[in-house]
Amino acid sequence: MVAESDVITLQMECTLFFENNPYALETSTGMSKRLGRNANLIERALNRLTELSILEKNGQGTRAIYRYKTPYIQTEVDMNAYD
Amino acid sequence: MLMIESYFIDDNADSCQELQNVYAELTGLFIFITNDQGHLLSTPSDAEIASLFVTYPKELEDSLKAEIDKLKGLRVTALSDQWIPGIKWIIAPVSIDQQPIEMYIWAGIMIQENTRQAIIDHVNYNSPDLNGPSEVFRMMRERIQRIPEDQPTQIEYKKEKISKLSKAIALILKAGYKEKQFAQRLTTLNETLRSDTSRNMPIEEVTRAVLASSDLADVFGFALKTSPGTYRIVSSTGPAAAELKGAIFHEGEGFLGQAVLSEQLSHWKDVGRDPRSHFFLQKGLASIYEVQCFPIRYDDENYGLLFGIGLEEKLSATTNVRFEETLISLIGWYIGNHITHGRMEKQIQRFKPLMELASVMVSVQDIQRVLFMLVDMSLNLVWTPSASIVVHRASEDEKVQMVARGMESPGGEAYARDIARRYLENGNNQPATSSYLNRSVPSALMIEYPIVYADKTRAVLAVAIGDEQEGEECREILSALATMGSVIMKLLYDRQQFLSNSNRFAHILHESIREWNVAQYQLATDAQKIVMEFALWGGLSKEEGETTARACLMSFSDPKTLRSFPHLFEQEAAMIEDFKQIQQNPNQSSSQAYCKGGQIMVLVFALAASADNDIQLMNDSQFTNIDPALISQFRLFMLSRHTLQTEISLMEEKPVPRALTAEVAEGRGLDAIVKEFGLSPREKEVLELVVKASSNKEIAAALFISEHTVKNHLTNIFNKMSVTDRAQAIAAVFNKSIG
Repeated sequence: MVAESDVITLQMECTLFFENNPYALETSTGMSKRLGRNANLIERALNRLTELSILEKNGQGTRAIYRYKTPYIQTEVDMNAYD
Repeated sequence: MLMIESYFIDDNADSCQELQNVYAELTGLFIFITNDQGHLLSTPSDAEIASLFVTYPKELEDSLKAEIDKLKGLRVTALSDQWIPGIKWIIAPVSIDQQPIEMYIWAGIMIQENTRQAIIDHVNYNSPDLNGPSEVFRMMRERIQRIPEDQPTQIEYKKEKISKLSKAIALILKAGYKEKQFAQRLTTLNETLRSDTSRNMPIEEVTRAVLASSDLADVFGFALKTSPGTYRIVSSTGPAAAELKGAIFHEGEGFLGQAVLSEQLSHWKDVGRDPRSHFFLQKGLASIYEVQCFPIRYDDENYGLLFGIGLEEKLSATTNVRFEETLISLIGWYIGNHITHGRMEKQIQRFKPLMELASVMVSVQDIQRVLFMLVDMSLNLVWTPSASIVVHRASEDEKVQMVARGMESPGGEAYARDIARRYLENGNNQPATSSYLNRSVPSALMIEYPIVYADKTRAVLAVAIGDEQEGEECREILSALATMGSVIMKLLYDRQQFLSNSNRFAHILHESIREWNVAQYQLATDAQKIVMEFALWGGLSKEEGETTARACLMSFSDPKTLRSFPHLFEQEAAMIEDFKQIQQNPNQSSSQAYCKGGQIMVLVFALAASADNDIQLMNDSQFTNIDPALISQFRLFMLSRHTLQTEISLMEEKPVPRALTAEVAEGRGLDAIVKEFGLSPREKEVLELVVKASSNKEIAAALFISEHTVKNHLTNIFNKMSVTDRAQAIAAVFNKSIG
C-alpha cells in the first residue's frame, strides 16, 4: 500500500522536473528511469498531474507522452483598467 | 427479536418451578406456566393435572391457546371463567419491560360460595358441547365436588398472590433477558466496528450501522458541518430516511440547529405541537413525540450532530436508555476523533512533500520559476481546478503580473485587477496578514493568501476551493505554502536590492576617480565593458560577470576600504587583492592560489590597456600565473571579439566571405587535430566538449556514457595528442584554430 504522501511527493518531483525542463517530452517509463522510481507509481502521479492540467498527455498506456503545460501568464495587467 | 421464553431454562427454569410450587402450596391452587401458544413450560404443581398434559398435550395446548387469543392485550393478572362458566381461573401474564407478552401463569380452579350445585348442573347438562377431552371434564367434575367454596375476598387474595408470582418470575427472567440483550447489542457493535477497521468502512456507514441497531429512537440521523453555521444530514435510518438525507439546517434554527450550539445532550419530549417539529413533518414523518440530539465534538470543535426521533412515547428501562445515550455520545466522540484524525493525516501527507519542496525552492533564483512553483504546488496540495498568483513587481508600476492555471483571460485578468485593487494598490499601506475567502470569481470560491515582505503586500496567492469547509481543511497547508513563497520572494527581493546597492556604490566609487585620474577612470570603464562582453559570450555566469565587472570599476580602490561596507563588496575586494598581487608578481607560477575573478581582471586590464586591443597580445608568455585553460578560453573570446570587430570594419570596403566565429575557429582547430592525431569520431565529440569547458560528468550526460568511459576516452586523446591534461589539449585546439 503506497502512502498518499509518497504519491504527492512524486507528483511534486515530476512537477519540478517538467518546470525545469519545460520542453521535455517524456513517457512514464522515461520518468521512472530519470527519477529512479516505480513506473506504476510514476504513471499514477503523471496522470494526476494531467488531471490538474499541469501536464498534457498524448497517447495511452505506457506509450503515452507527457509534456509540461506552461501556466497562463499575463505580465501587463493594468491595475487601473476597467473590467 | 429476543424471545423471553428462551430464558426459561436451566437455573431460571428451576427457580421459576420452585416458586410456582411454593405459591401453589400457599394458595391451595394448582399452577402451571405456558407460552403464548399454550405450550406447557413448567411442570404443573398438581400430579393429576400433569398427567393430563402428558395424555392430552395437543388438546390442552389448543384449549389454552384459544383462551389466550380471547385475552389478547391483557397485561395484568385477571380472573376468567370463560371456559366453564362459574369455574374461575387466575391468568397472570408475565410482563417484561413493555415487551409483548410471551408467557402466562395459570392457577385454578376456584368456585365462589353458593355456586357449586349450579356449576355441577351446568357441566352435566352442557358437557357434550364443552371444548376439551371427556377425561378432563370427568376430572373437573370430581374437583368441583371436593374443592372449597371461596368468598370473594379469598379469591382476590389468591389473585394477588398469583400476581406476585408473575412479577417474581418476570424478575428472574428479566435479568437473563437483559444480559442476553446487552450481549447481542455488544456483538452488533463489535461486528460493526471490526468491519470498519478491516475494510475502511466510511464513517457514515459505521454510524448508520450502530444507530440502526439501537432501540432508543425510531429514526436516526447523522449531520455534518459543511460550512461555518451550516449542517447537512449525511445519513439517516428509519422512516423518511431518504427524505431526511441531504437536508440542510443552520445553527440556532429548530431542534437540530439549537442542539449543535450545545455541548451536552439535548432532549425534547412531547413535541407533537411544537412548531420546530415542522422540519421533520415536512420530510414525511407523520408525527413525532421526542427528539434527542448528541453533538459531535472533539477538542472543542463542533463537527456535527447525531439525532434520534421517537415517533411515540416509549417506556424503556432507564438503564437501557442510559446505556444507549452513553453509547451514542461515545459514537459522537468517535466520529469527531475520526474526522480530526483524518484531517491530521491529510495535513501530514501534504506537509511532508511541502518540506521537501522548501529545500528546492530556496535555491531557485528566478522569480518566474518561483511563481510557477507556487501555482503548481498549490494545485498538487489541494487538488483544486484553478490557482493563480498576482504579483506587483515594482511599487511605482501600475501594472501587475499574473500566473495562473484554470483561470484564463478575460476572467483571469479581471480577477487579477480585483486582487490588485484590494491588496496591492499603493493606497493599501497596511499589509494584509491572514487568508480571506472571496466569491467574486464566478462559480468558484477562492481562498486568498497575501504574500507580504518588506512591509508591504507584494503578491497574493489565490486557490479555488469547493466550499468553506474545504477551505478550513486546507487553510494551514496553503498558509505554509504562502509563507514559504513570502520567504523565497523576500530572499529574491533582498538579493535584487543588494545587487542594486552594490552597483550604485560601485559606480559612485568609479566616478570619484574621474576628476583626478581620467586615464584610470577610462581604463576601468573599458575593462568593465570587456568583462560584460566576456560574460555575454559565455566565459562567465551572469552573477560572476556582474561581480567581476564591479571589481573592475573599483579596481583602483583599496580592498580594505571596500571591506568596510558590511557584506557589500566581499567578493570584489578579494578579486581586486588577487588582481593586484598577480600584477605585482607576474612571473610567479601559482595560478591555483588566485581567484578566477582576479585572474580574469588581469587578462581584461591587459587587453583594455593595449593600444588597439591587439589579438597577438595573448601570445605573450607574460601570464605564467594565470590558469592556462582560462587563457585558452579568453583567447577564443578575443578571437570572436576581434573577428566581429574586423567584420564590422571591413563591411564598408568589401564583403566578408565567412565570419570567423568562435565556433568556426573551434571547428577548424578540432578538424586539424583529428586529422593530425587520428582521433576517432567519438574522441572528437569528447574533445569538442572538453574545449567547451564541460566537466567529465557533463560530457557523460551529453554523450549518454559513463564518467568512467569519458576518462578512458580522455586518456586516449591525451596520449594521441602527446599532452598531459585538458588545458594543454584546449591550447592545442586553439593554436590549430588560429594557426
